[in-house]
Amino acid sequence: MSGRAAEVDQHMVDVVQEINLAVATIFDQLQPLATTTVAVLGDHTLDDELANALHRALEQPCRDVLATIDTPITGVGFVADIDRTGPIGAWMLWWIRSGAAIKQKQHVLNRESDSFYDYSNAQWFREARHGTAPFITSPYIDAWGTDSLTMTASIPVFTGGTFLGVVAADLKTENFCDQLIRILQRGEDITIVDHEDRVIASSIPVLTPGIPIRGFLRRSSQTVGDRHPCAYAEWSAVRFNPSPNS
Amino acid sequence: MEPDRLHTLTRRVLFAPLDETRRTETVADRLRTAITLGVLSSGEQLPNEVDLARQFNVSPVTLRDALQMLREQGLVRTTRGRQGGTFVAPLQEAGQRYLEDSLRGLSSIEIRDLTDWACAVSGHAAALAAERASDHSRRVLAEIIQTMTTTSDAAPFRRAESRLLIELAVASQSTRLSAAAVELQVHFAPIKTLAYAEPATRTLVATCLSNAVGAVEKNKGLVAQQSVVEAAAAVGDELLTLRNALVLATQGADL
Repeated sequence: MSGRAAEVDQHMVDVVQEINLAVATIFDQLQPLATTTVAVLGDHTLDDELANALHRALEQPCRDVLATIDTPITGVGFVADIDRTGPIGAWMLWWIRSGAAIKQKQHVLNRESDSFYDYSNAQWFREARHGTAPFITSPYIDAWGTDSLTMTASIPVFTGGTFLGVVAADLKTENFCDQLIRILQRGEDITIVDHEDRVIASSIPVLTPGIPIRGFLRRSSQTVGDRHPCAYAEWSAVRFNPSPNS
Repeated sequence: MEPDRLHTLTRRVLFAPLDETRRTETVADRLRTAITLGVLSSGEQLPNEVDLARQFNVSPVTLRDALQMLREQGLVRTTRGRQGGTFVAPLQEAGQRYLEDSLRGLSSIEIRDLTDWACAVSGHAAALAAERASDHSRRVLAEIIQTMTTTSDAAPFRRAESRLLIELAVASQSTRLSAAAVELQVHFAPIKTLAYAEPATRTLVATCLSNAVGAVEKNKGLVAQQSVVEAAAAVGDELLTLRNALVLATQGADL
């Protein structure tokens, strides 16, 4: 396999570059929000006054992100590091698109509630916090947030060495993956998978976003051939070959 | 077999009174499904507008708007005069186009989700049917399999398959599974006709469902469940492939 993996062809390289670009476009929209957050909060512990100031500073830019034509982004905002919010506890500023309207969304942030939205354990929060790099989740059912199949992109917000929280965006999986699938359909079959070989997008129609590829490989007697890494979240582009013993 | 009972059950779901907003859309959806499922058959005259509006619990204006949508899609046509009224248009071309539009309008994730739900409902219904089916149900199931294996057209095959899946749910003695099976037929079955245009898919599904009915006969719940799930998964894969081809064709036309 090592011999073949080395000979990754130009088409694969081009496709990976375009996939990286599509994901980077999302992060590019989050970066200014992170910069604004740092400018408002500095390294102060969050209090009501700072919270109001950040609300005023982020509202219009977040609304603008959601109002972008054809964007797959359905929700965007800032989510504070629980350790730094003092008496306020868990805190987030979040706006969503709902039909044609854009409005602020209040999550249940009371720890005593059954529906407490414990974001500090959410993958998009933890990975951005500890990985310190932009992160994007695979499709998942967001039972505490959007209630639908979602992907979440997140970037950590640091000032100096201090972690303030993350700026994140929820993506409508269908729309975002369709965008990626259109890139893949320009050539031979390529599938984008995450770190555990779950499908992000594929030119093969039965490989729908979110499912592991192993069932498909077994049924079709194929194995993973060429693999080329993508830039974010340990995604990679793969091609499949007929199984040698089939 | 007893088509009337199923017929009536489907009619009841389709013509249930509405109390939601988006009424025009919903009425149009219901009528469209009734037409594509063949509950309202080709050439059949719809009840007059006042009666139909009352049945759906909507205003005559709402009903008229819904009928206008169907006319634009070529599913019904209205004639004036003494013999006038609204009639179901011949299904062939208009129906095919409508089905393709519906399939293209679904995302691949929605198709997978519907398939998963169909597997859950029909799979467990089959498992329970193997334990609980009455002699009468077993007879009905065997007759429907007979129809499926002798038909060579997509539409009658799909109708027989829908009946089989509902009958399995009825045989499970679960009202919730039966309601879910009917609901699935109303919303998912029409586009399955596209998958059954492929003879290989029909053969595979007929074999699987025939195995399922055989397993129900021998009280083998697990085999019945597996066979039904295998059939549903094959249809799901075929629909994903067809949708992809339709989307690619549209993109090609755009370039």
